[in-house]
Amino acid sequence: MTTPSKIKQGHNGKERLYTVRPRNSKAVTDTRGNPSSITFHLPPDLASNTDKYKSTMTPTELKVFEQAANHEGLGFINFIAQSTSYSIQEKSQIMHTFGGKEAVYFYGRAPVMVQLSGTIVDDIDNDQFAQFLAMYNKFARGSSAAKDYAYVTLSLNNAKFVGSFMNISIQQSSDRDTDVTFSAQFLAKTFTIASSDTVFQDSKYKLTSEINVRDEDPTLTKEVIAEAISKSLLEMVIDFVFDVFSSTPDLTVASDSPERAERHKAVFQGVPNTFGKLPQLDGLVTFSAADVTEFFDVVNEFIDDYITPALDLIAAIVDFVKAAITLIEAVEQAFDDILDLIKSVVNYVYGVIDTVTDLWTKLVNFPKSISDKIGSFGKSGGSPIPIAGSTSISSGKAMELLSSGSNIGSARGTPEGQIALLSITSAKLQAQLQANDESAGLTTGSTVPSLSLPSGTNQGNTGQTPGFILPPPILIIGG
Amino acid sequence: MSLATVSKRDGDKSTWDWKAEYVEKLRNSYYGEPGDGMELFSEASVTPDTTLILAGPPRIIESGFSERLSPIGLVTDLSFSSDNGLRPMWEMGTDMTYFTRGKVSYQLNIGAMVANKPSLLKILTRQSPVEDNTSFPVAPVHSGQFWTNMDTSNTTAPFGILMIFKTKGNTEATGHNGDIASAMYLENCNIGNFNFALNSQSVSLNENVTIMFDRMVAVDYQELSV
Repeated sequence: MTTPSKIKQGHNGKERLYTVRPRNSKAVTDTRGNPSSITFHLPPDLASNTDKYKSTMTPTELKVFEQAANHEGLGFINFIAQSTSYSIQEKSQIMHTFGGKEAVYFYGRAPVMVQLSGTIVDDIDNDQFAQFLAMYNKFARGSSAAKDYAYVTLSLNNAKFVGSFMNISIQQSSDRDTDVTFSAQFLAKTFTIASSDTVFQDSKYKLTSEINVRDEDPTLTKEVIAEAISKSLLEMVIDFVFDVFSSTPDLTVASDSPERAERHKAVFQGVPNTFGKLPQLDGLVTFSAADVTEFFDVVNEFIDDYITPALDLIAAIVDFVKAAITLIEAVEQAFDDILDLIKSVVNYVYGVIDTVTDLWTKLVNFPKSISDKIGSFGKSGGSPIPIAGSTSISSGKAMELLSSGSNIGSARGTPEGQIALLSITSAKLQAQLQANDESAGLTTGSTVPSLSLPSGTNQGNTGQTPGFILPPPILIIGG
Repeated sequence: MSLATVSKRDGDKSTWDWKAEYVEKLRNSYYGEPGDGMELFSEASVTPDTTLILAGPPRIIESGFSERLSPIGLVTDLSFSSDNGLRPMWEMGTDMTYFTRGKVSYQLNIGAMVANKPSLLKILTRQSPVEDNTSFPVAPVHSGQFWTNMDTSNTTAPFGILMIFKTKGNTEATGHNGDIASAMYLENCNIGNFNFALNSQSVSLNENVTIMFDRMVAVDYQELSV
């Protein structure tokens, strides 16, 4: 096969998608592509001596292990990967603030969960179904892999994931006995994307353009943990504390700097050895609970020396702020008092004005109000008042009645109150009244006789209500 | 007189003599100059008479050619189709069309008359391995020559098909009883559908199989001895 090369994209080499060739294009490979595979990685001590490890395996598991542990070969390929999906997310926290903006804190890359689905054929010639589930159960699932400090690599044609399986689900139906579909989730601690440039290499295994999404194998190895066991926990914690607090905390140290890595390593080296088994504490831990308590008391005092001044300063600031607030509130209150006083004066003035207005109103309406009162004299509830006595009264008598006043009031409301119907001495007016009496009906009380005054007199209110005119006194009381 | 290939320096051929010039330049003979076009078509055309179909092992690379290729007779219909799942794509903001291709799926239909000779199901799978490490099939579960059950171990086994397209006459020096226009081997063929029909007005019973296969391999007909 001649050395493969890329096709010039268009006449100027810049036309997008001029040719689209898959990685398994016949022009670059004679193997028709690479199948998806799963490989199993044991720690070096176990990988070099697998006899004991394999002694507990069934024949099917052994067959699977031989394939999966063979890193030089294809690995375990006894499955058909048909689709995969994964999302790459950031760990972040969005803090909404006033003013319409926000602050976002980033904490690194979140673990990538790969969804893998495909088919495992259940047949007598390939036995994919049994082998795949044996591989999952014995090696690839997270609990099994972690027990032996192992990890799993899931290789696709364009990406390689390192991690372990989280779950798997199987679907099978009666219409197709051999087709068993599966879907699984693979938690990728790290993964690598291979550029398609790799197909143009001398060897298809030589990668010149790898994109490592995360550092490989960030978990603790068994060697690191074993080394930590030999060192007492107390020493680890002390080293860590003094390493952080002995000098000015250097928060500007880069997260991937050796200095910080050493700090972290010091912390995690104190992790007790509980992996894989639960050993007895006797003989492993060289300190007692009392030692731990004493140590943390010391640490507490140590930290307190740093924290107490800061706390005092903060308390002083709080006191100052409170005093300032009190002062401001006092000023505000003083202003409120002044304004209230002014407001009260204003209200009083308005009140006075209203009172004066009322006075003028009463003064203006005084004649009318009196005439109204007289006009409604004796009308308790509107019932008609029988009229007795003479229908006319002399003006002198009227004045006498007016000057006494009490007689009018005393007769008001009495069922048999005698109301003097006074009329003007004018014969013309008296005749008009008599005519009105006959037509309007004085018994209802809703209509009152209209009054047509002789010329020259103050007419006052004509029509419905009686008027009170001085001089000469013309007083009409009607119902 | 034939039309030559247009090169960019010569420009287009919009003024060609349509009475005298034509595209196809079939040769007068295998030694001759380019001929008179359609007059030689009967000699140079691929015809059903000169097309041969043979059944063989599923993979040509491993097995190669041998006497294990069985010619298929009484074929009345042959159709071939392939689909590469061409998909156009458009992008916001431009009027360009981009194309991506999926994986090619192939399909072959063969119709044949039924007679007292190996039927399609029998002859297509004659050379297929059924048992592990076995070159020849086990004793068939069918009887007679006309196989109708596609749900047996024989008929579910994969096979291969060699197709040779020849011409009636020789127009090239290497031609033997006609020129080989094309030869291709269809690997890993599987029968997906089988049917036969009787019609009172027809003179024969016809059977038909639909085949899907994995890939096509070009055969160097220069080395092919049929």
